[in-house]
Amino acid sequence: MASVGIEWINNFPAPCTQNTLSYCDDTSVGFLNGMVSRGHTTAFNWGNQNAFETDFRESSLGGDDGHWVDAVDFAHFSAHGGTNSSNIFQGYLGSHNASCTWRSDQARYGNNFNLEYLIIDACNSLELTRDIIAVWHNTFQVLHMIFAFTDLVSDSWWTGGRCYNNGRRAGNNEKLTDAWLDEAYSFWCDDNPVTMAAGRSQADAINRRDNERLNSGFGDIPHNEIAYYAWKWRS
Amino acid sequence: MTIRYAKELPNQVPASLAVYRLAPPQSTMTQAAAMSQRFGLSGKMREFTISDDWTGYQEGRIRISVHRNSGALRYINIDKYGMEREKEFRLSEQESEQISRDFLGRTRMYSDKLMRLHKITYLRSGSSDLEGKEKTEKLIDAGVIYRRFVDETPVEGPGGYTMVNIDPEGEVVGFRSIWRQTLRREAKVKIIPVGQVVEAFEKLVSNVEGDLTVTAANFGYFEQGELDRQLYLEPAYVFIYTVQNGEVAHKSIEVIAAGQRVFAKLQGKKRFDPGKQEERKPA
Repeated sequence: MASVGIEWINNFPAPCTQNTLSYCDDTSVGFLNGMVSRGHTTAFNWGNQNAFETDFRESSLGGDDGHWVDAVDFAHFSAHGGTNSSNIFQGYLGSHNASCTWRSDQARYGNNFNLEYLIIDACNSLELTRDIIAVWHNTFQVLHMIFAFTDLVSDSWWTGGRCYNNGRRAGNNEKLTDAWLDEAYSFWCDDNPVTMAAGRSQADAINRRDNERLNSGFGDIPHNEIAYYAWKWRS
Repeated sequence: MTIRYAKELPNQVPASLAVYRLAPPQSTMTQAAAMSQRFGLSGKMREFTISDDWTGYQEGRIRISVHRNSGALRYINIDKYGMEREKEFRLSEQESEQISRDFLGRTRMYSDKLMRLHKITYLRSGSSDLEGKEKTEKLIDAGVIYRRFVDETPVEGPGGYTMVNIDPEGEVVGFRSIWRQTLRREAKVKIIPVGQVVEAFEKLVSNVEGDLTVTAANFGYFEQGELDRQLYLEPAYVFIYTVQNGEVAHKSIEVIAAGQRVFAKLQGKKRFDPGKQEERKPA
């Protein structure tokens, strides 16, 4: 049984002003509903102004991830996002609780806590024109996989069901990579999902990326034993 | 805000188009088993999985699933689909297209006249050590996508397509389609002119901040996605656009009914209730 936490932001009032999004609640809550429909449990559901930057930031760096994102098995974030030329991903928030963005260089998941799988339903979140290992390596403490997008991803009613399908399949113990790539890909909108997995070797990373399921029994890899990453995408 | 049209609507659209009533999905166990025979299976096994939204049938290593709302269909080889193997995918586009057409021909589901090759996508694999010294990239499969046409008019939207997945050995290891069958012509509708629709689109996005670029502007029948029930196939204009606002970008879509008479909404309510958010105080 996996515990699931979601954070989603549609509204970005000052001082965190950004264009309004419309369906981040549908993608995050859809994922949660898909998982819960297969027997998994809800840990938290923070939306709009209730999604805090500190929920994502490492506790030893002044954050509170040990009570939130890093305290669940599966976390889902849906909002604006972007990876800059310094290889830092920023997830945008709708309230200034410490900061209007959470950053990949301040995220450490799985260290002393729990998070195994992170979905980032946001633009440029596993951006293949950047160095994705530089962006995310420090985040993989005991974290197993990240599911995200290269390039921009659509915010629309017509594609808003993607994460329900993903949650339903992931929760049903299907291969996590297939569940993400199949459901989040849209040739119509040119939405290109990516999966990234850590491994002790190249073969291990590929095996985990292609075969890991919620109940497949792949063990944790301490950060200092990660030697390879494998990723997969459709375009 | 500025609007730039990287793609524009076609100059010419038909003066009128038929609206079709769609057939209900064929998603019972009996129908799923019968469907499997189109894929060369016996349809006689008794291994079904029923959930609130899908009916699944498995025979050997092949699983077929039919969505209860849309009739969307999936076929996968559960051992081979999406798996990276030693051998890289190296078939040419022509070979991939031929294999996919042969496969679809055997299923006798979609007439050649009603579908056109849209694009060939690839499932891609990358791996690297931490320093990037041993970086690899390879192709795992080809996903050959065909779009649906009705009365020579393309079908737009998240539906109205089929994709055939081919592995490096040239075997079809996956297939999916959203292709609701038409039942009858319901009516004929006059089409709203392009100029009027562009005006409506620009009004819809007038509150967006930043530089807006229209990356796709299409006219066609509109078919909904997998999760949604749809009773009518009717014409629509579609705009897909990106917005760059400072360092933050996003992508969105507007779908505007093209018929002067509209039979059903092209956009429904949100699918999932987020629940009430009580105000949260920082710790």
